[in-house]
Amino acid sequence: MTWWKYICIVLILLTTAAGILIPLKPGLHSVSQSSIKTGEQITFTVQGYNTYFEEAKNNRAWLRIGSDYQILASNHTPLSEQLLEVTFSIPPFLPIDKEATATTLIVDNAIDGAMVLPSAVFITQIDDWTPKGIEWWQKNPLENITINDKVSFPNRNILEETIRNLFFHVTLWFAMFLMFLISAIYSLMYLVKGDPMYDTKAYSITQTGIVYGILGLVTGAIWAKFTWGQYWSWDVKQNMTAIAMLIYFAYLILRNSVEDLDQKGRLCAAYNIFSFVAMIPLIFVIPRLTDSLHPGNGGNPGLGSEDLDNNMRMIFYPAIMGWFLLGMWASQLYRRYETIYQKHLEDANQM
Amino acid sequence: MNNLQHFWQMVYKDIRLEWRMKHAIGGMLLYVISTVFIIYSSFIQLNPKEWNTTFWIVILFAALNANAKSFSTEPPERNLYYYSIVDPLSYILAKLIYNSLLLIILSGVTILVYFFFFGNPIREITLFVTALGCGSFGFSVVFTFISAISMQAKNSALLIPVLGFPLVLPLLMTLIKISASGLALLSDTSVWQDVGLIVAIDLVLVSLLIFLFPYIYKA
Amino acid sequence: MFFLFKNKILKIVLSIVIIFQNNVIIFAQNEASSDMMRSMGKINVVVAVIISIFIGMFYYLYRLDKKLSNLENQLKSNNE
Repeated sequence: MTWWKYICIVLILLTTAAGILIPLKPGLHSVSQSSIKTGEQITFTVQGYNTYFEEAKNNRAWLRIGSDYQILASNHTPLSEQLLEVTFSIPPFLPIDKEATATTLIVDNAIDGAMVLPSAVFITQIDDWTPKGIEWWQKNPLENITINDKVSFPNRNILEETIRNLFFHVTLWFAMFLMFLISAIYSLMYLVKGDPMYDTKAYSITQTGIVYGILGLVTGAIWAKFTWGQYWSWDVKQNMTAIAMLIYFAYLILRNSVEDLDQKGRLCAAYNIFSFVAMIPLIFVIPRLTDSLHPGNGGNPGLGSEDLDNNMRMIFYPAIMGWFLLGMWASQLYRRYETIYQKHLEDANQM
Repeated sequence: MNNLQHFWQMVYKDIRLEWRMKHAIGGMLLYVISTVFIIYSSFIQLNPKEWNTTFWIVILFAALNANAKSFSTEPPERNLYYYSIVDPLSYILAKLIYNSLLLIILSGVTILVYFFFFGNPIREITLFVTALGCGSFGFSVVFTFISAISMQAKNSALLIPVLGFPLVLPLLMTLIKISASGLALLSDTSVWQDVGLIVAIDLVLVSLLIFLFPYIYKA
Repeated sequence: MFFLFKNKILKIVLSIVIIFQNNVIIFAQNEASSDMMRSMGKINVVVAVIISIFIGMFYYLYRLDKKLSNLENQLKSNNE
């Protein structure tokens, strides 16, 4: 039975290649000026990412307030593919009666499609507000927006290219959880049927699961260092998974402190099932009850249900399957080693 | 009917045994009081946050002390004897009920000692008492299970905290959060949802304990 | 992992970690490493993540290989 190993190889190769090679959607990174006053004529540069400002030529830029009011830039000069110089003449009045407001920058061209940078520029109202402002801001509505339908990953502000870690970091967790689940099922089967093979299976799968867990923590820590600033940020999910790892280390310790094989099997199987159930609220319930820094939690830019777009989904689920199968493969090797080793021990005892 | 009688007899036996060994129960009370006294002499005054945290840590170690020995006070042969005359369900339930009663009494004592030394910062008494009850029960379930397991392994005294602490940590963290809202440290509208979570975990763990115990004790 | 403690590999891994960390510290002082990691949309973070997964899997294989060789040696000496 090796067909699933070929599937594993194909899945991992394909998803890794796709996860590395598919480009990020063109996006806006930053603007050179963050606050301006009404009535000013202002020129600033927009830093784009993966954009083609020079090649596209028909760049247009808007500053937008809410969903109804916007002004069109009067001049667009691409300095390079990534840099665009835009000039806005800000009307003397804002369209809403506020002292200052955040505006969204929208840049559109034929190649990149529409790109949005929320809260790009703050505009301060100098004079007293009059409703005349509304007219100024409605002259140039957003029209003829290009839709970029090339295959790409979403470009999020803080995540940027690390959104690809979805296929390398997050999949590890899912695969780990699947493996612990299967390990608990084997432990249950061992208790019910009493065949030592099930116990060995459960043990080897747990070991690979722990390797995946440690890799998940390490990859997460590397990412956290360059996103949140330190390797360990005491985030809920980090804490919880660290505890889950402790539980499974305890499982290994228990395994090493019982000598009788039959007894070892029963105790470890019982502990494995118990700890798997104790782990469910740990990883799936408690992190949802408290805020986390992780993408997709409370106000962070990230991968909520509407953020995980279809392109990523199409790679994400096969990637989970691939890493899971790789884990099963590794644990199968370990299990085969363990079986031979135990047989060898028995033979040695008989002699 | 027979099982129910066995069950009560076992609980009664454990209580009598405890009562006869006054040094054990006295030792636990002494543990609570001396720990609180150490906390008092190093903090002198506790703000509610410290009150909350230290309180739960004292409870955690009280649970460890009180329940860890539940299978090791009597010699293994006698445990085996009990196992052969009563069925495993009533045996483990008796242990569990006795352990959780003991722990609930101990946490009652702890909270009284805390009131005496540090005053009473509790704002929502129902919430806090519910959390304390569910929490003590959950701790008892976990430590009863762990002591049943480690009794059969070598160096069981070392194993109990190693196996038990990671398992109670998620419970403990949720409990600290619930009782923090009981102390009005944070306002959480969905705190009863957390209580529901604790109750659910407790129930699942109890059913697992009942299901797994016969396998642990097969030898 | 518990089996780490029995192993000489632990020493090697530890020393690699220490060397690596020293390098990071040296790099962090002139912040070259940070800039390198944060440039180009943090693509190097993804590279580091993939590399660490490879290192982890290779370590797993290496350890299994070692165990198998030990077992083979034992079997061989038994047969003689």
